Amino acid sequence: MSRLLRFNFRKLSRQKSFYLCLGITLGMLVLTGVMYKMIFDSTEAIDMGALMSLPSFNSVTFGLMGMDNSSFIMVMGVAVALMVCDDYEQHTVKIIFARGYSRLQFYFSKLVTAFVAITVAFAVVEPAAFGIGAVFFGFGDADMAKTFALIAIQYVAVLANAAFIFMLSCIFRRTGLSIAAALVAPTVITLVLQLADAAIRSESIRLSSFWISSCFATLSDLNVETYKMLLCLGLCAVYTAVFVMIGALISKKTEV
Amino acid sequence: MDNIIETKNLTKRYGTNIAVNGVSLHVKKGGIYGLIGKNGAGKTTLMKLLLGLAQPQQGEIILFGSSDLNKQRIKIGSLIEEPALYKGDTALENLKRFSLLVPASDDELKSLLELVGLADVGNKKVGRYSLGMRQRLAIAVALLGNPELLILDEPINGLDPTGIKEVRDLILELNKKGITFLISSHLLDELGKIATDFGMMADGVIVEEISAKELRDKCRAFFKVTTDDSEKALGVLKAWDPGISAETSGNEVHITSEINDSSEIAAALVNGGVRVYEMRNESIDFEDFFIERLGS
Ligand SMILES: Nc1ncnc2c1ncn2[C@@H]1O[C@H](COP(=O)(O)OP(=O)(O)O)[C@@H](O)[C@H]1O
Ligand SMILES: [Mg+2]
Repeated sequence: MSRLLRFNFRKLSRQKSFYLCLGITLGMLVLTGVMYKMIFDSTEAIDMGALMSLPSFNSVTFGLMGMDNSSFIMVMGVAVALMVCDDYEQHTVKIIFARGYSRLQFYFSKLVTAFVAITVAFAVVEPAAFGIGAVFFGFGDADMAKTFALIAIQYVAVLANAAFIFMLSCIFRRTGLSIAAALVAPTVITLVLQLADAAIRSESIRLSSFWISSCFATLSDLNVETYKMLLCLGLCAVYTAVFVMIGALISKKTEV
Repeated sequence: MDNIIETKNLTKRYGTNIAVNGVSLHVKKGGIYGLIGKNGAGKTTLMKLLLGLAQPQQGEIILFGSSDLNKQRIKIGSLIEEPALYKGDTALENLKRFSLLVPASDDELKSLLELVGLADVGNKKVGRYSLGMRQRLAIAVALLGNPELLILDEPINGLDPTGIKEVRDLILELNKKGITFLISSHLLDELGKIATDFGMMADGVIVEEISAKELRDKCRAFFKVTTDDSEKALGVLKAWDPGISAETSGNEVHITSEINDSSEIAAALVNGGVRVYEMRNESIDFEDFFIERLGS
């Protein structure tokens, strides 16, 4: 297992697409900052009423919205898909299996590598979001404990999303298909759940609020109720476990 | 331990299609085993089963005398179908990366590159290599960690005559150093000629396993003598050399024992009062032998 990990980390450290994806995420974050700043400034000059409906921006609010605003989820989904599919597409997985490494050893070594990559990206993007927020809108003050709790739960949601894309990539094993799935699947799932919501018309239960994407929106708001935070934490932890398990079951049977 | 690979009744189905059907394979240590069969015979699938790339529905595999297969597989280098390499990286980076899985020192990597003639390629990415170069790099990867066995699936497929010769010479050189080979190939290509054993495969079945020596004996050249009276000629020859192995066939005598000087045979027959019309070397064709078993 340690050999496989070293092998995968060497690959990751040389995977240009990972750095590119990270760069794109940071770029999107800056653009979003600039855009909000412009809207903010022009609205202030023209219409005070409209300003009221905009959230008050500072480093904390912008930082918490970082995951939602930076396309982090989508772009890192692409990075994960590329990471998983590469060895299948180049057939190098044959060499790994033929030398006696098991499917599960390979699967978990890749999963750990992907989670580490995502963690590194999160550790870069999240502080960057706070920094950009501070530059454009000033520091502001907030409940630090709650802010950190929200960030921690966002991290779990990020892992859940990574596990989801990882599982899809293990199913498709083709870069093109997996990237398409990484881009489309979250939207499609949200859409389907919203349709289901419209169909059942329940006041108390909104299915679409249980999906990962909705958790990001929930976790971006500093005023969110604690039980909602905990619900997101529980959901994302369960999602992560389930996707990792399904991925492992699928990988166990792969023939190459 | 005589057999480095042994399988019993190995079977692999894809849906209703049986790719490998009850195969019992025996690959001896130190040899070059040629797995010969047409396209679709099941050669690649059989190799994938041995390497654990595909799972059999039935049967047993024993590698190096053990059923703990994954533990043994580190000692096996392989090249299955097209070369499996990281095309965006250099030859050295490919080897370095795989050497994390199959340990080898930097010096060993360099000498492997030299061995396969890729020491001077510099920083060129593998994606820009010719097929022959990729094939050789894949063999270098297969050679990581000094394997005891190499399993090569049609390693000369698509190579030009120079490339074929290079790969063949490399195989012979490595075999001399003690590496056992299992090589699949088409009916009688260049690799058929260097095998020490053959497994003939058709429709997922090993039709026959035969050593090169047995095969030579079966296809052994004989010396044909056409006479006016073959029975008399045989008597004369037996009297002349009691150890001779020969038989009659119509008005011909076929001599299968070794002949140093055919003029002595002619002299003995003439002295014995037999008329000799024609004398020549004949052989059963090697190729016919395979075609008979594998279909044309
Ligand atoms: N992954 C697969 N799925 C379905 N059928 C397969 C698969 N691999 C091989 N086959 C079938 O198994 C048979 C043997 O194929 P193969 O082992 O590639 O033969 P060979 O290498 O001798 O040309 C063929 O009929 C082929 O179509
Ligand atoms: Mg084949």
